[in-house]
Amino acid sequence: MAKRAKTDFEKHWAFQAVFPLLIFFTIITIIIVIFSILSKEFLTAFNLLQALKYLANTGIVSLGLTFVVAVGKSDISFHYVSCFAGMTMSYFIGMFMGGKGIPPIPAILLGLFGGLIFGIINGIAIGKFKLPDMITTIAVGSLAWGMAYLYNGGNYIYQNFLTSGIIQFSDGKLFGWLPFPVLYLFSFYIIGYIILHCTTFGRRFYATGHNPVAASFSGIKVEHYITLAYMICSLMASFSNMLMTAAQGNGNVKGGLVLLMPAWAAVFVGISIFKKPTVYGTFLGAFLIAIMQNGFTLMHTPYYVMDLIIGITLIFAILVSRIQIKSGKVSAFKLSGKEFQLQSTSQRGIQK
Amino acid sequence: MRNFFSKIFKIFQPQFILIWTLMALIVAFSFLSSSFRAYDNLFEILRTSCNTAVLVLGLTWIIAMNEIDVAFPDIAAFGSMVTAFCVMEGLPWSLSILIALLTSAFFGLISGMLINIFKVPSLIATIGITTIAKSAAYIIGKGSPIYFSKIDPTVNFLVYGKIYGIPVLFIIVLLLYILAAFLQNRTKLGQYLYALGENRQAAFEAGIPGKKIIYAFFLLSATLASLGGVLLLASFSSGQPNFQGSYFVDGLSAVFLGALTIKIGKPNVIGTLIGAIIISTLTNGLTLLGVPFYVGIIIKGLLMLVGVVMIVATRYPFRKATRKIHTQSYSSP
Repeated sequence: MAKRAKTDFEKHWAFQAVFPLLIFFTIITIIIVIFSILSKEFLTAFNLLQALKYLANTGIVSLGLTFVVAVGKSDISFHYVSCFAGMTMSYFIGMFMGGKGIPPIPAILLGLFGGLIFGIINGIAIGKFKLPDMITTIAVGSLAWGMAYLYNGGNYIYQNFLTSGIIQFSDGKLFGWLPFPVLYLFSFYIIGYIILHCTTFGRRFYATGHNPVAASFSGIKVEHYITLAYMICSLMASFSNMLMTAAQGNGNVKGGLVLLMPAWAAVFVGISIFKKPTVYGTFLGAFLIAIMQNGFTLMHTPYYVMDLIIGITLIFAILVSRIQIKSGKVSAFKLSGKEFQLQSTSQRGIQK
Repeated sequence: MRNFFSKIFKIFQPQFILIWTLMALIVAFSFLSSSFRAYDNLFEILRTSCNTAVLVLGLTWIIAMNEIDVAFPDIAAFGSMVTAFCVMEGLPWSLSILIALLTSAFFGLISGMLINIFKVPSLIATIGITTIAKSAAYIIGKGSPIYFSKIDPTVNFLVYGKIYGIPVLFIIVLLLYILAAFLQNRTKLGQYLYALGENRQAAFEAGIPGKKIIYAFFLLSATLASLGGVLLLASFSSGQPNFQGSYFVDGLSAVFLGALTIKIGKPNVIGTLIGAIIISTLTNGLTLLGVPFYVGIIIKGLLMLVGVVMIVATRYPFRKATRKIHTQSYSSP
């Protein structure tokens, strides 16, 4: 049998694997150097913790999204669902039982439960009944967002926030120095890493994403994994928005809407670096976003200019980390067929 | 006789159910509210539906092509802010609108490049574009809307004017949609469009200029979204940097509800127009009944969900049959 010719990827595997990572860290270093020149407070231990607190919001929600992308689906409802969960928590703290409210921990659990319901609806509709993912998530998302308005007609809920101790959920510190959000962030990421990368259970998410038919023939219950992925995504998004709500000190219907862009961007930067959705790739993506948000906040940049620069940098980072070698020379932006692709786009389920 | 009945029952087929829904909605609202059934109000519904209809005309084809564009509300905001800014700088209205359309088309070009050259999935590309467009809209107004004291009479006539009681805007949008329907159903381009959506690889192998078509439709979508923004600018008499999220849900509901009519499961322009009218009827009727606006969001979500379930349910017997064939071919070697 003739020996198979090596593919481009096999010839240049070291370059292919290392180059995007190298590019990415160069970009991060450049950003850090620029910020530390422009602002004296940037490279301090205090500010590092602040940056990690920023990272908690984006990082936790994009960790959940990683699971959904790993099963090859897409979710554009999690930011709406997170609004519902945040408002549920605020309602139970501020307005339940005629304004008396309940303690923070049951309220947080109820909020998570509220988010989870929509995750289950998404998961069952897409996994079990094979509805097309984009339409379904937009529909369920608008349901969730409309229902978030029901609590207080779209007004802020701020009663009992200072007295009930919910502020501690976001501002509390372990041992007097480690902020709770950082603790949540790292514990979630470690658990997520172990689940997705170190167990058979986690490999099955990837199997589902790469080829659902093959996966189901090898005995994987595909619909269970899809449902589970959507549940994890909505739980993480709800948790992230509740952290934001606790930090702001009021429940806001539109508070969670900012989560959509950074979460997708973080996941996709991760895919660009490691060629598939991974927990560590997502972490690097979220880190890139958080460090820029932190730096621009220190420089008192208006939020809209900040969004513009972050958007451009992200697109640039994604493009640059996709440079690959093809037949001996560096060809810009040609992708190999093995690249992980989003299955998604809207209509697949319907048209067949 | 049987033939006659089968012809009658044809109008109850699933592809016409959305039209029946629209009629049922109109009848129900007319019973409930006397101000709804007023002659002027019915035409006002048609007029407001035109905003959504123009916003999502390009999006319809993009979704038919199996891509997605989530940037349209923010490109609309950008278009309205550019127009407002240029008018405030003293340029004539026609020139300002032209500048707005051209600059917005640039966003479409970038999305097209990201998708074609850099192979970024369209969801990610347009999420990036939407952020940039929104920030650009905010930067133009330095973070706040631009208000007008008066609107150009020609634009005012086009948006608010009436000929024999029928809104001019609706007539224009109807002509636009008839043109679009011709393009979609009677030209090669329309066939290529659905071919690209059905099987991208096969379409490319058959020699369809897919990349050019993707460029063209993303350019068209951005331009039409911007035009929708200009119409909204005239309705609000101010340039808004942010349309507050409701146009996103409205637009996508119109397209996906429209996918339930005429060509089942495939977005098409006539369906989109009907979808836009349904959304506008719902909003108008619920407002006149004194229902808070967020109930409208819930109802739209439910409608979309029911619609999707219905499409899949009507296709289920077919799928079951094919599955049977597959299992047979597997089991009998």
